[in-house]
Amino acid sequence: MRILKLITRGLVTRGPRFALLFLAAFASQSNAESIALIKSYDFGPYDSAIAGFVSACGNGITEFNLRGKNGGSPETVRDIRDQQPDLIVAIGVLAAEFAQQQLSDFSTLYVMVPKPRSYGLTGQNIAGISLDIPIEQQLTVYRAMVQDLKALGVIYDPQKSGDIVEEARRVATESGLVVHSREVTSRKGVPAALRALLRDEQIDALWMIPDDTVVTPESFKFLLLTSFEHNLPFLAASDIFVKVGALASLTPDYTDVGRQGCDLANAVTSGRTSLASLNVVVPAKINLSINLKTARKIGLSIPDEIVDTAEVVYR
Amino acid sequence: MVGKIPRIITAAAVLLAASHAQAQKLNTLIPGLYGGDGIRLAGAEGGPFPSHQPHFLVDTADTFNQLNEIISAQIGAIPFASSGGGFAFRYDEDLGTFVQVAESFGPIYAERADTIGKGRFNANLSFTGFKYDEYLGEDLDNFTVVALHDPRTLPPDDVRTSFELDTVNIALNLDININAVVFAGTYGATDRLDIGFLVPFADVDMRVGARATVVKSPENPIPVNVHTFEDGPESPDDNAGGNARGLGDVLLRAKYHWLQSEQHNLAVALQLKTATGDDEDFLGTGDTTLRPLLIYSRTFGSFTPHVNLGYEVNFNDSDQNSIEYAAGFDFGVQRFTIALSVLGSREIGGDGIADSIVNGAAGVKWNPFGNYILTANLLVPLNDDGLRSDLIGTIAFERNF
Repeated sequence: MRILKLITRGLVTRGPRFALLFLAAFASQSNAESIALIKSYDFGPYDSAIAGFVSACGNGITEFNLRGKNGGSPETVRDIRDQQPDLIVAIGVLAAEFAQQQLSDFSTLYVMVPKPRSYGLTGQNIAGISLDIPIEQQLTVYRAMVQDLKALGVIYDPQKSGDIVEEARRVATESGLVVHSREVTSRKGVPAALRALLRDEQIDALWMIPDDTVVTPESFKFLLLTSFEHNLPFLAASDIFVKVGALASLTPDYTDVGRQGCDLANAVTSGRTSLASLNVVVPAKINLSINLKTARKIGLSIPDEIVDTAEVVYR
Repeated sequence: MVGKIPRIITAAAVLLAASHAQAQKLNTLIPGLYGGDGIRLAGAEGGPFPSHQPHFLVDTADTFNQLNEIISAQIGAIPFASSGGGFAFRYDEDLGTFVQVAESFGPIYAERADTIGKGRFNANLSFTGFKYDEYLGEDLDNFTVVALHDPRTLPPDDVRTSFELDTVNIALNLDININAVVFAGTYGATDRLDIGFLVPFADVDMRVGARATVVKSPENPIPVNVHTFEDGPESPDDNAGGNARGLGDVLLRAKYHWLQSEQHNLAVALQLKTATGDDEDFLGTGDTTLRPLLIYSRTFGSFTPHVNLGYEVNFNDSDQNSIEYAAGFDFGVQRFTIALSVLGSREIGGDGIADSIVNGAAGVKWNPFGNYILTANLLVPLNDDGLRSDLIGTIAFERNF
């Protein structure tokens, strides 16, 4: 039980970086003289992260909003430069790219960015917290929930999520799991791919990855109904699917990502670590959502200790 | 939910207990005017015409009967679509995952193909109130019926001649108010099959005022007025009124989400309307009908157009078999859904009255919190046929369990 909690909090899988977090966690507010916090645009998850950051760091923060404008505005660039912040904290992809391109001479910590390397957010002067949950962490949690889990089934578009499936195969092999997959290039191929997967492979769960070729409002219903018809656990990419019937999902806690950002900001500005050594940090707190009604429907008994760790339980 | 059911049943029982207080049935109010046997005027004697007891008959009782028959028909036009919560989402590239977008709660009068899901239950309590305003395009405040002279006074008996061509115009002022409380429930028996019921309780209040006027025919050669109410057995004015309250026609329904693909959603439904309402008091139609229905809908994010096509079989009168159709859309914006539909009914063996009824429905659903939905809807006539109300308003409260 305790090991599972540590896993879901991501502490065991990223040891050195999380040791820094332990140190930074003792700081109750920012030691930086000033932080320029740049928000990409008004968006609920970004606001949650900012709330977490501000509640942890408090003083010395000046907020800027790009309002969705690619490249920001000259006025925003000027205002930030005038401030001469010790650290720029960029919330979201747009803000991170803006900081990298327009304010490259400042240190930038990004927060709330998925697949940061795909956006070229690397360098000596930039690092941050991604939104990507390590595959190893996902599989560990799912195996604890579905105790006979030996084979996962996944449908994907190689152009969009081939890297995720490749990583999953590598991790699965190391842990004795098998990943069976079918490729699609358009949403029209999803029903046939799922039928082929079920017909030709023995899978113990259907795994949804963030792939918008595969997952559309039309296909989701089909995937969900089919999982029910075959009593298959349906492991989803977001809590919104668990609410309407998928078995479970793992999602980053956006508010906690903000607090984590404050901890890292403190560690960087105080000199305890550097952006160059941080590179990409994974979210510290991952929320597990479980739908017990679905579990009953498919005849799955989830251990109570797993249910107790869930952030959201739909009954 | 379970605890609230006894209170709902108690309220319904009280409503039922208050029904049928008056002895005279509402469907006798109009035919019963002027004694129910036509209009008799003062005896016509001592003139250049044969002495006789003028007797004018409404040609019809048919007109009255047809009016009677369709008064209760509109009570059946109660919303029966359950608000399955639609589920809409999009992929957010900046978050690298899916986020929920505004969902549509579905249409109000028409149907969409989606079912509510296995084990789920939708409870709906609605209040509908309206007043009939027009019959065949004529204002009910001044609806004219013509009474014709008995043709047997002068030979030949089957043809009206001379003073027999005079008529009595009866100007009716009809005030028909209907209020209905409807309880409906839908249960997801399977993920693709919904079963449901609708139980209406109606209050019908009817007031009829009549003023008769003798109209001398231009082809009547008699130079003096033969026909008059003065000193006659009947007054030119008459009125009647009554109220009835009680159970209407109960509906049972099943809907099966037959085809679900990437683009299209198709469902079939079967609706049985029973004759549980007292048709003599206009609480029900008196007919049992069965309506199979084909439902097509397609969702584009928060926007869902729909088409319904059905055929209603009337087991008591096959001439009233009809084609039922609806088309429209619903659109979700944050916690609101706007629903617009055109609804129509076309009798196959029509008698020329109320054969084609077309209405427009516009409404809004609001999800204030949790699984509760409030609905407000207006139904307006889009043609003049039959007995119509200028505006039928409905508010409803729903909860999904």
